[in-house]
Amino acid sequence: MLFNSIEFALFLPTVLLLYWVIPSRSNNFRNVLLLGASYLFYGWWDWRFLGLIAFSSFVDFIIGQRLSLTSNTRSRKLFLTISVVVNLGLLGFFKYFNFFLESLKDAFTLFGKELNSEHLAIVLPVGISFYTFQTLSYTIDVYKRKIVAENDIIKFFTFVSFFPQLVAGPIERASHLLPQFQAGKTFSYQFISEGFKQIVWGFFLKLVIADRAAIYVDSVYNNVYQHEGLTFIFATVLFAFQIYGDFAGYSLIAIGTAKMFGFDLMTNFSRPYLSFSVKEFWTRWHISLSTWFRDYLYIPLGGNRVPRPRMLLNLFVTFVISGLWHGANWTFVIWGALNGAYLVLEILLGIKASRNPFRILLTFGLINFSWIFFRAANLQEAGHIVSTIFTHPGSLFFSSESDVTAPIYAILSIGLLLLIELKREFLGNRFSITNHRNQWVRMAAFACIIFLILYLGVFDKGQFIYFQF
Amino acid sequence: MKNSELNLLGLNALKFIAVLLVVDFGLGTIAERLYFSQTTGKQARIIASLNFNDSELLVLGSSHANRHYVPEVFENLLGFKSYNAGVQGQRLLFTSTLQKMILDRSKPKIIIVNIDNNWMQESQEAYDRLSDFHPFYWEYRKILLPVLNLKSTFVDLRMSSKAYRMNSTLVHMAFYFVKPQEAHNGYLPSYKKMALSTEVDSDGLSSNTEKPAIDTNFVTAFDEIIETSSFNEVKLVFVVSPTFHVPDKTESESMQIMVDRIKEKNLPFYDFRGDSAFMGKPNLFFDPAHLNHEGAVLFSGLVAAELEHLGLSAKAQAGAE
Repeated sequence: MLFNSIEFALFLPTVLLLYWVIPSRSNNFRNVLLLGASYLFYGWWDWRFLGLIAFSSFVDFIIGQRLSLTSNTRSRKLFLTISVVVNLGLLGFFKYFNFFLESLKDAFTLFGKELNSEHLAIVLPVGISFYTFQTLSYTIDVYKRKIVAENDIIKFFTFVSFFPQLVAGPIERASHLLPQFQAGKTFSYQFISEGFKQIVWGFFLKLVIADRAAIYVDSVYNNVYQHEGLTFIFATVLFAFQIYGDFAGYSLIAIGTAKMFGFDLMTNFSRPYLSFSVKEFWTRWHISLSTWFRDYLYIPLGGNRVPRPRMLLNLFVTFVISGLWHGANWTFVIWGALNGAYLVLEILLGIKASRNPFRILLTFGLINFSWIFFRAANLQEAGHIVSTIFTHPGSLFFSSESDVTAPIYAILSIGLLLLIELKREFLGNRFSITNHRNQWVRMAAFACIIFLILYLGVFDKGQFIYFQF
Repeated sequence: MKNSELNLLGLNALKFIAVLLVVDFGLGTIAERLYFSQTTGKQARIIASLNFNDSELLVLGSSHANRHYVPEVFENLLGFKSYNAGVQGQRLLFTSTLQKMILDRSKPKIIIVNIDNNWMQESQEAYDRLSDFHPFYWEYRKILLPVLNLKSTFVDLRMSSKAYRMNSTLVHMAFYFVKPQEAHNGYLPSYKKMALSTEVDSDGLSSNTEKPAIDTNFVTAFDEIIETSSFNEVKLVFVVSPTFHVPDKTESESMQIMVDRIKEKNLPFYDFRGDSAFMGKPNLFFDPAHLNHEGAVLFSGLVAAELEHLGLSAKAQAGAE
């Protein structure tokens, strides 16, 4: 089920009403309801994958139990290994099997040998990368004794499959989300009001920013051999806002939806394009994933506690793996490697995030360069785009005659977003009409945002980009 | 649930809905006024074809219709007041619906439908671009609801918002206000001449190596064009525009379906693809799929001559009466 669908518009109020009608003392019933709703939400795409998420949840629930019952180090390590192998095994099979097979074939070809093997027709289950990481973090935290194992299977299954953040995050930690299924919450007007505001802004980002930009971006990136350098630069800048609007929009809708049920999810984006350095960018972009990789990969590799060359290598490796997490394609690996290289260079050159506005532009430029690899269909096309930018700047393709307005809409909506983000970043809540003391002003502000969504948004278009990861 | 919190939610929800309705009505009315006051651009031509069109000869179709039929030529040669209601980027579903909407208000004597090779092929865009009709929804609800219902749900609810009805019209209005388009009774001339290096575009005339699926809704829409004309006693003529390149006429199932239906109903049909008067002559095209003004004048003259041959001229009709 998509957030931007009529089905969801009916689904959410129904589940919400039922949830709050159940008395707070009957918290178990509420969790059963959320679990059922989450499985319905997920099964709406493809019910066959419900078994997969149930299996993954079951394995980690049992392993959590086992870990809590034993203090034997070898046994604990064994249980953790089982969890990691099962979770990453499922992820590896569904997401990376064909990629590794293809890469292996290419490697054989390089040495003059031929590997005969067929591709498997594997369908990637929606959100597998997200819930796998979420459930894995639970087992690791139990293993590290940061949290105690959950004894309530319903609560645990609901934690893994909680529908607002199931398919595209934010990737929550058990220590933050699991206790929230325990608390007997009482209904508050603020839950609905705050959640609604987040959802409205999320839809603005998705329908007005992302989907508007997508029209131009797709027309360029789907026909890369017909365009010149300037066009690629413009399309890539629009893509930067497309992916931001798409993913930050989804995150906000998820956070707002969860808020309506009284749940607090972590902030996932914090005006990333106003970062003064790449390091700062990664503290503002997809925060739930960045911190996941920091806590469960970078720190276990040694983090900052190892000699500097090793620390830099760890950092680089973490970003390469983070790239691969985004998709089974070498373009994502290069994207991750580029970002890793930026960070390593920042450290080596001793670059600090000084508050020079030029730094914002420099950081934005570097991030945009890496987005070329993220958006390109393959390495050949990415290479063509990069070389064309430097060798044939040419002229800017504005648009086809039948849709001359697409880039203008994109520029207009991105301009509006930048104004709002700059105001929030540097002036905070001052001059804010969405947080005005007068309720009527606040309401009018949100009514105007909804008007803008309906007036400028793109409807009946595709799903969120991050679903494919 | 606490009653006080619930009451607060109910009260504030009502207040917010009221504010939303006021904003939608207020800003939506401004957007609507701006929309219907347009005098240039694609939207202005759609408005004109629906509201200010009392022509005797009407042209329908996509950009190939819009760019290729010069109303002045038809008026001079046939003596019929003519209007070009072709719309860029639109396909069969739109054309069929526009025909019904126009015939709901006026009764032309002749309709020329310029058909494109790919009109029967599945296309999500063909559905998406029906949004060009949204501003006219409540005026033509009977005609529009069944068409919009083909791929959308809760159409009445969506259309109850003025903002939604006027969606994606703002920049178009501003763009053509700043850069007005020259149009003559709906016809949009281009005075450019095609550069020989121009590649074939994918605008429906280039042949396709794959065989795309046929959308049965489009087949029905084509049948409805014929039925609606027959019901309103309007003479219907089908034409395929000339192309710069040699067309591949063998592969198109889409075109074959249309031709079979036209033949079955014994309706006039003129296929100018591969016509030697146009093919390979860059001075008559501004791109491989679209004629420039010089080409359009020549083409309109040839079509008018065919119509005159069929006895479809004001003079011939007056004589018959």
